[in-house]
Amino acid sequence: MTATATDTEAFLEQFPAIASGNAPLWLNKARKAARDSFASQGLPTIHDEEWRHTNIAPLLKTSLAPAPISAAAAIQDARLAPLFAPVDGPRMVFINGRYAPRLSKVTALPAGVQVKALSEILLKHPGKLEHSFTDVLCLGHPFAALNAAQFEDGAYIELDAKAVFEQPIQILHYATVGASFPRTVIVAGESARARVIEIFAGEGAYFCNASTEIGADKNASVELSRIQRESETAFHTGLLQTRQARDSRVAVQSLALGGAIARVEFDSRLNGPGAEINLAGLYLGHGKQHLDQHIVVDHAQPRGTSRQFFRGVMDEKSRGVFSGKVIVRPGAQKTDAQQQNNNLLLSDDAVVDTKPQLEIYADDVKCSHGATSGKLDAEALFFLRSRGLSARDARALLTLAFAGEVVGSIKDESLRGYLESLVTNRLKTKN
Amino acid sequence: MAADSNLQALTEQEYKYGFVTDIATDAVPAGLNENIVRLISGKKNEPEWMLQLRLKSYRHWLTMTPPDWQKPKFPPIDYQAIVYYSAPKPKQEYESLDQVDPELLATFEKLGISLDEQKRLAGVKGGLDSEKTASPMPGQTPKIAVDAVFDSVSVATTFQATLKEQGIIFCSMSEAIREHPELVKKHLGSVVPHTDNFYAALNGAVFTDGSFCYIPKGVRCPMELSTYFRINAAGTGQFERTLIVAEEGAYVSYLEGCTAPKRDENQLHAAVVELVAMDNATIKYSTVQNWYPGDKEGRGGVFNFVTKRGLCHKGAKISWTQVETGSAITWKYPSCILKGDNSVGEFYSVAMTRDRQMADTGTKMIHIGKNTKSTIISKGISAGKGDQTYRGQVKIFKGATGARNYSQCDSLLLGDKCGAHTVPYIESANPGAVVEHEASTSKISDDQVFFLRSRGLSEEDAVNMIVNGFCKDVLRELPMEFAVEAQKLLGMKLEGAVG
Repeated sequence: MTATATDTEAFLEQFPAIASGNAPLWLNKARKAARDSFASQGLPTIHDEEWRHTNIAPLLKTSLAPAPISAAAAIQDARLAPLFAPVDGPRMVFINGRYAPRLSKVTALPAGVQVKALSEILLKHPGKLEHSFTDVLCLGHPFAALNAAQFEDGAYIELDAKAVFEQPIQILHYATVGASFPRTVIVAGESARARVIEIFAGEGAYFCNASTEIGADKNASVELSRIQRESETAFHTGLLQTRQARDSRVAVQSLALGGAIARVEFDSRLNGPGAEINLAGLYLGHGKQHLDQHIVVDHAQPRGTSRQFFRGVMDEKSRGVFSGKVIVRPGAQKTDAQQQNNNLLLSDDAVVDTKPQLEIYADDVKCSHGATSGKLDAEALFFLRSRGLSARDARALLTLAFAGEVVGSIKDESLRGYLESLVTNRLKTKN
Repeated sequence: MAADSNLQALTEQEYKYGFVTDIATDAVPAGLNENIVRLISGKKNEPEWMLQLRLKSYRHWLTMTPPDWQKPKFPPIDYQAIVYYSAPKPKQEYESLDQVDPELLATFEKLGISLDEQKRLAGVKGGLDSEKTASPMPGQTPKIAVDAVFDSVSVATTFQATLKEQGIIFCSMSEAIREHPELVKKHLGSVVPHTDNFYAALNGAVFTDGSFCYIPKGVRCPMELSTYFRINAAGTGQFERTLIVAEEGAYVSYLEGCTAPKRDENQLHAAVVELVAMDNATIKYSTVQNWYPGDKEGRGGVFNFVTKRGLCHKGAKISWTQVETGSAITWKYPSCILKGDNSVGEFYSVAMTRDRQMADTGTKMIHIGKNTKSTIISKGISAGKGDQTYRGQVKIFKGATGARNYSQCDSLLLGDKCGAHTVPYIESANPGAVVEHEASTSKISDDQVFFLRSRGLSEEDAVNMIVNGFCKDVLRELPMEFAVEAQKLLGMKLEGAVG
């Protein structure tokens, strides 16, 4: 099925254009430009090279009218508490894309660290966000353009130069109905250090279209855990953009568990020499889930290092998609880029499509990629069975070992334990 | 280092096959419409069913738009400016070589075709005698049967009589349409239908000739079959159509070589090659492509947009080997449809781009049958401002239990202005299938060059040797004569290139 201009128009009509008298002029302009950009790019179809494995047609059949403000009132703290990682630190909660101060806990921040709602920043320091809207056309990312046009609120995290905040800042985006457009902006000043955990969850059928930006100044370090555990009847699209200056480090762990159709895009640019990015991802599909990961790492300057390490475990009738690209621009010599994607198919009806790509314009580089797809190793299964494990336990153990490698390298024990328990719970219900 | 000046020397290497043969040609006016399609069909005395096939293709082509997902971008092609049919003037039988158009003979000589073969190719009567004595003897190097295609039309096919003894048919496509219509009807378009893609539809409408090859059940073709393609006349496109059918248990090894004269404009080459390997048959298809690559500023050169695909029935094997050194743009994916259980597909490729050449090439391995196996080895070498992309698809259907694929794609960069890209698509719908893909991109290691230099090799020879080593896995798949030619070709292309 292909989307036509009429489909795009009808889709867009569900979201009334946002323009407010209180908002800065540039924002109203940017929203309009972004909305026009979405309209002109159109809804992606499988005939678009970047979307050939992900068909979003079912999204068009869902009613996405904005959630009523009252929908948030029913959500109680007790329901949300188990969704957070069991670590100390500030917590922000957004219900259907709107900030919920009564459910959030933002206290005791060290000097030089700001954790605020975007709406507050827009009101008090309207100039601060302008830079993050300079590129709102979001060519190649129609849904990111839609987010820029329609977002209502979001999280703003800023660390001054040399500010170090060891506690992870947790941001929970919880959705219940309609469409929500959460937005997170993380700005780390020179030599600053920040850790953020972004959690996407919800109940029922809805559409969550998220956008996250990380800006890391010289020698800054940002760690982000992106945990997508949406309702399995929901649609999720997300774009994570990272922009890195000289010698900065960004590490991202991405876990994709939920959503009927869920796609996350990474757009990582190493704009300063010696920058480093580490992307690790795990996608675990079951039922009829469709989980898509789309990555572009762009080395624009010399001596950059990038790692992409993604693993997929697809069970039942689920479908996994991985598309990763490394671009090494002319002059980005001494780049060291590696890309690895491994997939495990647990059922006869599971499908995986993988497309690891290299696009290289410099000669003195070390670039490699690898991709595999297969089932559990018969000999390893036999070995475990010969040690007395049941077929079911042997399968579970090997699957867990395969998936565990992605989260196993996380240093923070409680965060690692939290992620591992999410993985274990998912895999245990099946085998 | 002397690298820069040497690289410059590389980019200034002249195209050796850039001569124009001044032969009287019989051509139709430029442009494309139904009348031109009818005219081509008429000139070739084709039966009505063939004309209908062409018209069906043409009408479908009109509904299509050119694809634009490829990496190399180029200005839109004016399909009304191309001459779709150009043939050397109708052949006469000559008494001796002296009567043959000396230009034609000179062309053959430049191409390195032996005098005996020249006689046959030019249609000299005496040629037939030597053909009889030339049948392969034990311990003697097997001869190669050649079909030469100029612009659009097959000029001559050698060794037909020898092959006929074993029931092998090797002739031009036009002859096959006239002499073996039942075979052509059955297989033409069965692997690449006219609806397949823009250029295949165009080819289906206007193809003017090509080679046809049929190996009967259980026969092992005693010699290499070879087609030599050359675009000669200005403003022409070459649209040849090759069809190879190997019946149950048959074996054939087929070679294809290509050149074109230097021209300022871009010449379009949009061929279609179809291979049908019935149960347990083997087809080995080797290509050395050296079309005119354009000058060092990227002016002129051939657009090589080719659709090549093979269909494997049970236990059959199709092996594609290609050495792509020419063309301004090479854009092709020789593919295997592994339909039968236990069938095997192989793809070995060396692609070399320099100056402003661009290549977007690779393969598709479509695993449908059980226990199907495929191997992909691709080596890309980019120098100067060359830019190349490996693009390959490995698709495992749900029923392809036990399927196995291994892909390895390596790129070597000579200089900091070239590009190398790898775009593999792996689509697996069977948990029992094992798919592996590996790729690396690097430059020539200084250590390796230093080692060879310390053993007394010049820098140039050292690089040549390293590149040959880099390509070894592919070159050794080529039949002997072709491997030598390919190595020389790479050496020539590399002359002076030290990175």
